Amino acid sequence: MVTKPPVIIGVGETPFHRGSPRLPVELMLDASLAALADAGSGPSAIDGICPPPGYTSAEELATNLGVVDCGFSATSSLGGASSVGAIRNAALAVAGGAATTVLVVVGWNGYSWLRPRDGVPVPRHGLAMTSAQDIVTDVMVPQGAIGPPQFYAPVANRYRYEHGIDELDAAAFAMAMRRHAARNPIALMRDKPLTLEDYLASPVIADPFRVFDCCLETDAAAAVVVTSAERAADLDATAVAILGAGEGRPDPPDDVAGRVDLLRIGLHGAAARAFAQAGVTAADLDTAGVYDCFTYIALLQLEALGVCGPGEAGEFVRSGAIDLGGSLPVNTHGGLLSQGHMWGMNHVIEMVRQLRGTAGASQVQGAQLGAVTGWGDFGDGTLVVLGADR
Amino acid sequence: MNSFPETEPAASGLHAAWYSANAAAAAVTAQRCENGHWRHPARYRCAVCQSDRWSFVPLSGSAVVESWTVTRRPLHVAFAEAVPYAIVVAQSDEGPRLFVQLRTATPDAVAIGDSISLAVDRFGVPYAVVAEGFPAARADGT
Repeated sequence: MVTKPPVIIGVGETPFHRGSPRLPVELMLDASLAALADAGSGPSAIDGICPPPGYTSAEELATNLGVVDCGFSATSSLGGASSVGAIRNAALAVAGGAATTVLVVVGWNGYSWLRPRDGVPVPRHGLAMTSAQDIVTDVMVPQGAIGPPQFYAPVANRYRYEHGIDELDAAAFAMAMRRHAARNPIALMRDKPLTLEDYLASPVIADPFRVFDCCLETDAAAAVVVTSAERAADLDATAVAILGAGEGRPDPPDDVAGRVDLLRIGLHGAAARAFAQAGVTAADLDTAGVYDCFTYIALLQLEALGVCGPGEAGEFVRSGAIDLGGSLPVNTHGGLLSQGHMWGMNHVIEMVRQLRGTAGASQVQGAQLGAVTGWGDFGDGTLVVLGADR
Repeated sequence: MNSFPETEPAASGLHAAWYSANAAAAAVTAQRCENGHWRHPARYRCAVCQSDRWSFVPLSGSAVVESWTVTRRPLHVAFAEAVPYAIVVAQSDEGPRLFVQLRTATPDAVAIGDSISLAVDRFGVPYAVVAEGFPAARADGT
């Protein structure tokens, strides 16, 4: 008898704020309770917690939620790839018998930490980047490289140089995200269409990244509940199967400049492992979530996934393939670029809705198989392959 | 020329030792292990042979631009007067690659494949300048 793979049984998120007066942990508690309610369950069912790298702890979450006898926790320290990485950890724990039902939660003050305001509390513990942060502080900041646009821009420029990707390709991705956001009631950019003229007129932050190549700084939290297929059968919620999951790191993982190939990213290894576990390929996907921190980085991930060949992502996106009705709708919620930046857990939540058939105006008809990427720190990558259970 | 802040880096451990070695050598250095394997940024052991015996060895300073970015909006107030400024991924002749500011009056002209020279300021912080004779020495003749 083949054991059925673990499942996602509940999802929840807060509104997407550009300036919340509440701490990330408070937002995470809201999202966690929403995910548990969606699972048709309560805190008593939880025996494992995967918190994000920073802001809070399994202990703080357990106490505030009333989770007793928590027997498992693990933190994925992959920056923005941590959401998918944590789902993988939770699935491994459930499959291995270390836990039965695991709460995976992320949240942050991505808008407010850059804009301190009177009366808005500052979390005592921010995002934990450990050794990558040391390299940023000690080696990159003295060169004027302070933030992610500057760390990834040389990757994007090398991508342009080697494969002829250009700003029209990047613009096409940004505009597609905005079209998707127009169908999403909670997207930050729902009512703000983006034209090519708008894109080309937007200021450059760090070449080649214009403002509209960059994701939205957001205060928000999101959570999912992972359990076994057997337990899910007893709950009044629609499960989505975790068919495969992988993580990967570029080499060396702790520095960007030292790589022999700037375009070899963590997702290459992660995708190979996740697809092999699931027994599928990119060609089998009905829809995908791609971690769109920056347009060019999303295009590069489409190629790393195997959706298209090296240098082909721009043409693929300009053809309309990632739009609703296209061959592979991507980020039907609007993504980090136009819904908001919730570390890609918003991509997972959208994928669960797609595979449940509850994505409303954004629904990809007949969606049965999807995958969601993660990208974080200096190009760490994750992938989870999800399947409809209906 | 923009005004890039020249300050002592707030580094610690091996990275602080690297800046000290650069300042002492008046040149960009990189770690080389006892078996001759280069590495950068500074780390405890060699990833090739796992040796923990190494020294900071000066690089010739000859390098090419592997990739680049020009920052046009300051991401921190400390760099408000510095924009626009170029940062490149420098491929040194010896092998190590590093993020380094390219001091140039024409950041818009930076391109992959450009020949550059690496140097250090009084704190041992590396920077690059366009190599003497370049672009006349450009390999593709442009």
